Amino acid sequence: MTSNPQSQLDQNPVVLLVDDSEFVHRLLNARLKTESIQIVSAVNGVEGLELAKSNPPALILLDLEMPVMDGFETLRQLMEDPTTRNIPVIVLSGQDTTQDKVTAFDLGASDFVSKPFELTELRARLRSALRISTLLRMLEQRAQIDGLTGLYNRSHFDMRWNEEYESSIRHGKSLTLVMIDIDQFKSVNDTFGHPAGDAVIAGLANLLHKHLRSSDIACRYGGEEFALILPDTTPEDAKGLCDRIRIACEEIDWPRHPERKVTISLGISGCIDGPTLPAMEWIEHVDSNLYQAKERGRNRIVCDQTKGQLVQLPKAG
Amino acid sequence: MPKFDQSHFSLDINNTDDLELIGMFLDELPNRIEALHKTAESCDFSQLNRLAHQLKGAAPSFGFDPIGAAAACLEDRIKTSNIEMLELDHIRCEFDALVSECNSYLKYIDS
Repeated sequence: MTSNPQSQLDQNPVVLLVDDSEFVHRLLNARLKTESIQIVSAVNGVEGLELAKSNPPALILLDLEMPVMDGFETLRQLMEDPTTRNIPVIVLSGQDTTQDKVTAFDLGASDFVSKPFELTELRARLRSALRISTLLRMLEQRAQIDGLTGLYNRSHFDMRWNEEYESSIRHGKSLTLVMIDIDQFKSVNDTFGHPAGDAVIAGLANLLHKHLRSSDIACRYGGEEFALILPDTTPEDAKGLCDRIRIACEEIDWPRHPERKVTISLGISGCIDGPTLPAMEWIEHVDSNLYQAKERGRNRIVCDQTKGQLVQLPKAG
Repeated sequence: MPKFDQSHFSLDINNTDDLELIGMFLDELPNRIEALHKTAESCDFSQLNRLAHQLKGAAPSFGFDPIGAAAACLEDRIKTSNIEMLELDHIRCEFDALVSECNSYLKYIDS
């Protein structure tokens, strides 16, 4: 069953506490132990940034006055990095001039709590920030999901394809891309109406969901086209999997048009030990395999292994 | 060791959670006093400022309001001085007051 793009919201969110005072770590660990959160500790900004990037927490509690890297600089760097930009930050500080507060909010802080803490207030502010963060993450996830099928949408495909492509280069692992198109879909819409067409799209999505594995990424690429990203999968293995999907689709009885079967055509191309084509060209190549499947009579697969030299990741710096 | 005097603490000495925090602070207090002395002797005023800043922020949350207030006075005194020109005598009064507040709690620690 394919990875389901549903919200996976933490029961025990991780809260990263960045403060140079051992007292504050002890205090908050003791006073927040009933809050169903998991506190991770860092004693300066550099350490805090590393932890936030390697394992992004649900919330950051950040002191301002710290050695090595102070809270303002840490906040600035958190807001510059795409992986940490959306994590809410509550600034905890003994510096509580208006200017400090304004600077913290201008840099992107969500809230500001002065030391010494009023712990009941801190707890309430922490809960509020976690609630907002949960809602934001839900919104973010929804924005990646196709409304009709519940599969990932095109924007998610673009992001994941680049990620999986780079991961395949980095680890020299197999990766296969599949494009699926519903044969003569327009005639389903024209003959039986758009609700029937929608039912076919949703039905095929359901079929993909049943056949794919948790590591596979199924996306609605657009209209009646679907894209499957299959990490750690050779084109040969992908062909076997896709043929089962093709046959299962052909066998579906559609309640709105039992007399009209629906078939799909598939273009597949994959690599064995790392990409040999640039990411965009690879998509074009799979598209051309799909086109050939259509040309050869539809309800079939055209599959190959990408040719050429292994692609290298550009060196950093 | 004398019994805890509630008037000495801003947390509730009869509450287990509060008492745990008081204990945590007391455990660390001798180290803090030693650090204050060492830092003052070496005239490292930016480090002394940091120690005072931490105590100002932390002590009241652990029930030690008078230490927090004395630390705030010391921090304020250092911050409003020119740290390049600063001498221990300039901040002696605030420093002694902070150390004295800290020392007043040592009687609660098992020797």
